[in-house]
Amino acid sequence: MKAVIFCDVSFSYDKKVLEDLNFEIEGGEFVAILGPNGAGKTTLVKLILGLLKPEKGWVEVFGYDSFKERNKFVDLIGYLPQREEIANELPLTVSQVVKLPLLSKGKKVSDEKVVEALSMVGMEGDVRKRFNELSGGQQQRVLLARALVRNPEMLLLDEPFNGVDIPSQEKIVEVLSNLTSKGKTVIAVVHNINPILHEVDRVILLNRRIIATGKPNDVFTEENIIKAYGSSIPLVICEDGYTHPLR
Amino acid sequence: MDELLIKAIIVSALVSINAAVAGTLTVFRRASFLVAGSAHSALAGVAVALFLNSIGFEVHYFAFALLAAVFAAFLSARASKYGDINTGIAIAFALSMAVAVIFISVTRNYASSVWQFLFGDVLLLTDDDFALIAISTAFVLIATSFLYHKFLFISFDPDGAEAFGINVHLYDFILISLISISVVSALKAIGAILVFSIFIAPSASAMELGKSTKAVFSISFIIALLSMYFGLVISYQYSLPAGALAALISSLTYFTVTARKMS
Repeated sequence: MKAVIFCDVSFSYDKKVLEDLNFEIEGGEFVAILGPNGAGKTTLVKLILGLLKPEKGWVEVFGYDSFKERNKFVDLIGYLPQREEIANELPLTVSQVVKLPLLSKGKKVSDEKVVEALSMVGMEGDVRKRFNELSGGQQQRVLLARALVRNPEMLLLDEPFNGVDIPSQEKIVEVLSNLTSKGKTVIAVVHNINPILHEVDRVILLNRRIIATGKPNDVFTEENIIKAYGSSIPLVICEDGYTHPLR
Repeated sequence: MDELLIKAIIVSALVSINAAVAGTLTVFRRASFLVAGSAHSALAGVAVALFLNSIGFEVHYFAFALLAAVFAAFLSARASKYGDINTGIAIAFALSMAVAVIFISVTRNYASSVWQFLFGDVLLLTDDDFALIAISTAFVLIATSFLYHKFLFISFDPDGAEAFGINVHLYDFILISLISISVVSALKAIGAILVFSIFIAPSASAMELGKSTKAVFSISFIIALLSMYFGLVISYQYSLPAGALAALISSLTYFTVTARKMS
């Protein structure tokens, strides 16, 4: 089943942010969406979540119109927002953070389920700690556990590696790989693809339009990089044969 | 003990509950200015009610104050879709004050009534005022207990809450409306100008001291209650205004707490 379909999608705020997007993401795929600042990455995430109505075209998520029928698929998606948008001054415990989405919908969450989700990201020992006393990387892992606690079919991550230390990055990548091996769909919006480049099935290079889409080595060419970023970026081929943009 | 004093002691406790609940939720939502906005919007409603009373219509201030505060909340919540919530609140604040000044200026014999709504007096409450505060407090407590996790979620992570299917703008509006009810219920007891210090200073101090959400609510309640009670005691001894004394104590507590944090 197709997890996401974009059909001729355009969107504007004051000016055009996304134009004529056409792409599909299969269920079980691990896709990275990459582009410079202002490329429309976060808008694209909001379109998938059904929070914005396309100005033209339509977006489908698990067969439902993302804007008109979001209630039908919202429970199938785990979402990891940009950590910078979170009110870090609230004195919430790690357990409260993980439970909050379900409690806010009147659903009970057992402590075992919380520990289970936290153990997936290696944070099961921190259940009673205060969220705002954790490092950026640890906070991101807790937020990932929060997204996973409902066992979603698709995980949508908005800049999951911003301000995240290397051990946490590695743990997050490991979790995402495990999820795709279990048939879950993972879509990660990133400005730096290198932490997940070896794991992704496909890259969508975006700058208001889709510049290129395909396997990382097919997408990261000098020509595509210049089209997306407006200037050249050093490309390095690693020992495993993957082309890495050094940005 | 004097009946007025007993009533004042009970009202102080009720106002402190409102201050702890509404104040803490406001601080959590990073919209402290909302309390001042609500109080001054409510004042516009009071001014309209006083004007109508002065020309022969018998109306109760509470409904008008609440309507004005909720209407301002609605305008603020709508405006927050396009920018910072405090901008909407500030403009609603200015609009309400303009309405208040216009209606006060055309109302005869208004001075003493307006004075009580501006600065409050916990010792001058009628039985009606007492009942209104008790009912409003019960309503705010019940509504908050049902919606607590939603309020916490939209305060902690509005993007995540929205993605999870919570209608952030709707619950923002409900939250703002509940805060408005709390503020309006306390208006006659502590006044539109001083309400900010009783609602926000204790919660802001508690945010610095509390290690958990429960602790923040509890500390906030204790600071508000002690401020109100010490205000009453000093007022009784030296014939000074109780509301102003309570505001002074809670504000000084906040500055003491933040100064200790900095040192």
